[in-house]
Amino acid sequence: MAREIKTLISLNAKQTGEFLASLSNNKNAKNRARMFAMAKKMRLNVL
Amino acid sequence: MPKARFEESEVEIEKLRPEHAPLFDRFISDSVDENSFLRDDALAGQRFRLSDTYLLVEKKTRRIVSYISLYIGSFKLSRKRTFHKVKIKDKPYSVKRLRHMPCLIIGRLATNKEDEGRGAATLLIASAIKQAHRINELISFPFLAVHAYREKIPFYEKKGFKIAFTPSRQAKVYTMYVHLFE
Repeated sequence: MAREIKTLISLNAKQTGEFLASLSNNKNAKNRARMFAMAKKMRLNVL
Repeated sequence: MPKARFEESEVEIEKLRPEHAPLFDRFISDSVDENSFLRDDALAGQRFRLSDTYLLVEKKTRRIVSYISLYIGSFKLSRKRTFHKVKIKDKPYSVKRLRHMPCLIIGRLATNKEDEGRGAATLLIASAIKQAHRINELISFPFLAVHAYREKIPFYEKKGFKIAFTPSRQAKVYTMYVHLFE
């Protein structure tokens, strides 16, 4: 059997603070922009 | 000599179907776990609407080059929030009643050993982002998330993912995410 995938990601108080703070930082913003541009241009559709 | 990266014209993305089963044996990734998921669990997961698996197939050879499986998930926030040394700039996220933030999760992402480094997984992640935007026209969720092993963190960072939080000591994976609508 393959490992279980955790779909409910439960955060404790400290992790919740870190996660909410991470929403406003710009880490990897350039990489994200590059990836999203690629996704937008992508012609491959799901068959 | 490294093989060339895949061009979009050389591959197709196909949603997993029972007819793909004969192709499974030729798919061998580095992870025994991901190989067994494709062979044993992926079709069942899809039949019961628990997950969806998409294959990157080389047109010329009809080989499965890479696959991705997607799940619906949620970040469950703690009612108590410790904000020491951090500043919350985005007010909507500091709403106290907000407990769950839905996301699409990359449950599995694996590439055939001989095709590593050819951009197959990148194509599947780009496709997942494209699909996530399309689904968001009907049902909202702000994130695409993944549970990444430590050695895979740089790979996901190159795709724009951020580490969501410091994992607990016993955790083997880091939860990472990319915001779909920043």
